[in-house]
Amino acid sequence: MAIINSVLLIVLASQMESITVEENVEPGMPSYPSCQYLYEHDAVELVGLEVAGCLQDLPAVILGQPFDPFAPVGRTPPAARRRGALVLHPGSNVCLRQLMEVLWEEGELEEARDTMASCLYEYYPAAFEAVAVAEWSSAGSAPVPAASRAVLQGLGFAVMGDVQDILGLERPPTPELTKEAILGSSDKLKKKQMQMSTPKVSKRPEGMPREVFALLCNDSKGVPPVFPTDTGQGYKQTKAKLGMRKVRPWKWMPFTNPGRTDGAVFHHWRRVADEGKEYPFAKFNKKVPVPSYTDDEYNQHLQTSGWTKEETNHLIDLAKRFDLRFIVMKDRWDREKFTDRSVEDLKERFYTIQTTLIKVRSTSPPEGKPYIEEEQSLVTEYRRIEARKKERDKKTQDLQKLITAADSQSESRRIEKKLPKKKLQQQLARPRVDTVAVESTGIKFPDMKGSGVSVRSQRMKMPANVGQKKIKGVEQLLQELGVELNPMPTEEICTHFNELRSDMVLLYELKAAYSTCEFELQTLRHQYESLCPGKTLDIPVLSDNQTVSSIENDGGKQKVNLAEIIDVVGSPGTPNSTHII
Amino acid sequence: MTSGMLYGGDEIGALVFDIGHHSLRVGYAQEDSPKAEIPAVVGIAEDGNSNAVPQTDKMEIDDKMPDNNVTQNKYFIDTTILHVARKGMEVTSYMKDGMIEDWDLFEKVLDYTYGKSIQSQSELHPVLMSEAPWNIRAKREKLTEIMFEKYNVPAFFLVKNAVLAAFANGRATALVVDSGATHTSAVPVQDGFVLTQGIVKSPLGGDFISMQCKQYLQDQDIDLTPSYMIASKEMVKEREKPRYVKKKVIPEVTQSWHNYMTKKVIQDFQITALHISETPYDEKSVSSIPSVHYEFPTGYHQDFGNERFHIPEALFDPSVVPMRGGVVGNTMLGVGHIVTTSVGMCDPDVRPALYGSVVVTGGNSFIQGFPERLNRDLSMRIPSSMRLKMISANGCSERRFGAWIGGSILASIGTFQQMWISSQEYEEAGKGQVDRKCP
Repeated sequence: MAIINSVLLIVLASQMESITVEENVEPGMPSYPSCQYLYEHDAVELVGLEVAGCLQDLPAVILGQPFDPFAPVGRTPPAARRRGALVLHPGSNVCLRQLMEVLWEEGELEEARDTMASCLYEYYPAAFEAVAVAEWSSAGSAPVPAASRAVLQGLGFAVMGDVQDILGLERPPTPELTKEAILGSSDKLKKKQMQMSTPKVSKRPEGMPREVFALLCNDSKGVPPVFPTDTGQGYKQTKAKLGMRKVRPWKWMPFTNPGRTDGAVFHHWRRVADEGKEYPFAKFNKKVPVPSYTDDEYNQHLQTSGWTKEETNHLIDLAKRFDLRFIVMKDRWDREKFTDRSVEDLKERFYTIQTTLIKVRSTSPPEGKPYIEEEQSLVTEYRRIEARKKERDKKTQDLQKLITAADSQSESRRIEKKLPKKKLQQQLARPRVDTVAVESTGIKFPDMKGSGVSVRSQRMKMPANVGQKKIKGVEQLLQELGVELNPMPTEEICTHFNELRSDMVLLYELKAAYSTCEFELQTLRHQYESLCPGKTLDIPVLSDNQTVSSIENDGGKQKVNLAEIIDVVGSPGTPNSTHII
Repeated sequence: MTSGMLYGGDEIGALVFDIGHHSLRVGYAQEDSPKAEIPAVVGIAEDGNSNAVPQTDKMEIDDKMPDNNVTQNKYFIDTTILHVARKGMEVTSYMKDGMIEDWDLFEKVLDYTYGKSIQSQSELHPVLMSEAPWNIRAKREKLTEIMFEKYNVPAFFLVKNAVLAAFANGRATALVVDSGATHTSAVPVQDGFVLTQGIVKSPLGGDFISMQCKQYLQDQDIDLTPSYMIASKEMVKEREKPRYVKKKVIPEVTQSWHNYMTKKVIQDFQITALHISETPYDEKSVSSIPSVHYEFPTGYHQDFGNERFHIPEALFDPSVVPMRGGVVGNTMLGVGHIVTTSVGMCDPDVRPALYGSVVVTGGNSFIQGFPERLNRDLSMRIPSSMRLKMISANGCSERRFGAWIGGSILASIGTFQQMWISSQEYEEAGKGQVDRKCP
């Protein structure tokens, strides 16, 4: 700390209006406690740079706010650090440079390096606000680039490039920052990896099983990594080289703001590279469009009782000034000239003016009421159509479901019967609306397999998910057919009884669907006839012998008819147009 | 976008002046605290009589009167110089009712500020100044004129200090409760505009509390001799009569200066000892709180218990003030009442937003327990459908310099740079435009 002992602390306290000079004459007395003292006393204002110029012949370190290069890292108050981060004084580079050169002169290379490192580390980029000027004792006081360079070389610090820039030392142009630049050249790495990955051919000893050998020596790499990395091997290559880009200098330059109408010139800090570009904040200059009117327009269209022209002008003026903030406009309303108005009054008047002006000025046919009405009626019509379509789709799906169920249940029986080819084709050609959504109707009896020992009669028990109505219907039908409600549960009886009941439920549902379709058909026919009087709709009528009760006997034929009916209902070509009324 | 856009800031070397009744705060925009805080009072002495120490010579600003230079006054500005005892130095304030009253004196302070605090030329820095929300047009125009004509500032802007305080707390819409030296006010701010119709203020401020303290201390027969008169003092026991020696050579100071120094003593007591109870003042509940020990410059010291709650209670419940001559009393509004009255005068549409951010600022709000009590009073008063949120900066300087910090933020925002009244505009349109350009 040799240099510090010979140093004067110059503190310029603005409150005292005088320069207090503290001299640390005693050798070995550390200087930073007094710095600490200064920081802790808010009343004392430290002024640095400006004074530095006039005190060149004093050996002095002027401690400026907020930077104190000699205070131990972490002891400067955070507020000061924050402030430091904001300000970058021009010319302070010189001070830092002089400090370094002095330290070098004194032979305190270690000191120089540490000081530099700590200021750059802790305060970069505010480090250059460091108002630390040391006496420049050499006679010529010419810069010593060689010395500086030596110090810098000793630094070995990440931001060295910046310091070089500041000192005006030349350095080779650095490449742009890439991943390779940080992590080392990838070519080398790849080569290495290639070398590593070429497997050493180690031979499997005779008689050793392959699996055992694989456990012992798995290629040459040993254990595979837990997760893949691309940083190469070990830690050696991963040393990041950061901050290798050239510093982009800033300049205190004049600018004009296109957002202003007067072309006033202010000054601000800006990157040299951005010099001459448009002021970046000008594009935020947005105004709310406020209508204006001529005298004629006002006289013709805008006159209302209760509002004079002066008052209206005042309103428009306020609207412009306060960007339609009606509450503020009401607040600033000129109560001396005009009567007080409520916010609602102002709004009403303003928007009436706006709409009137738009109406008067627009040359295109006015967007009057008929258009709106037409649009609304179209919208309601569209909604109605959509709703009907949905309903129909749902019905079709239900029917399809039923039919598929009937199909699958009678499948086994039918295969034996060998359907005529024609019918089979028809069956295939039938449009399947949504086979995925189809569930088998009828009763799904639980599979008793695997649930341990059970009484067989349990298999005939109605599952809980069958509706009460259906159960009642099945029971009634069984009674009609004279079948026992609880037959002897032999294996065969069980199966047949369950099948029978399942079919009964299916029949029940088909009946219901059939009657719905019949009803709908009738309705449609009536509609058709009422729309086209004189015409009658020819509907393929089911013959009497093909009633529902005959499904059991002649399932196939019935099915075809059903399919045709479905087709009629489902395909969009036929009487669907009647829906749109 | 360029990095110049970072954080939307663009700093053009502007200065921010926050003119308060207690002090003038000045500093550079974009910094986090002002460079200087200068008392709003100035010492004036007739030239020749002053026996100022030689060092202060360069700080005095000679008042050059061109017509008849019979008397040349010397002005003593800023704490250090002002606190020196001088013969015949009168202390006067250039402020009145939150507005600048004595323009000559104010100019002297500005001269001092540029010369000593800023140490730069006024032509180089645009100036943003704060003003009271009820500032009148004539004064605003006068101030604009002075800044452009005398100081040749490149650009100027005036903002209401309530708006700045709201900005400092990150709000554009807020109800600003400013408890300052001379008064406490509630100012509604919407989108950065003061709703002037809703301003409510009452003269219950820091000075009023100081007056109450003084009265109380005098009633207790406590010696309030300021330290400038005391040469030495001895240790005494609690509540014992102080033993001190007066300085022998004291210049013949004026009464106003003596009062000023006495007020400093009281203000110190005020800051140290006073506390506002969170619930309305109740002798029993308050007596359980530990008392505070305070020693006066004379060496006299004692514990203060109930009094320290009783005196500031007047801020929230003026009816507790003892009636003397009927000057103050029940007619005053407590702070909670001021706030609700102010909001009640605003449009119903903005009321929820105002209650949603009640910004507490001003030096007097530093009395312990001020924000807590206000919060409690308001939550009792306002309808339950409203959401109440109080914002009071915790940091000492953040609240003390609230308006200044808001100005610092505003003047360093990129989009603000088109708002200034530039010197060109001033030359074209004159001082009248300040009312339009600085709403």
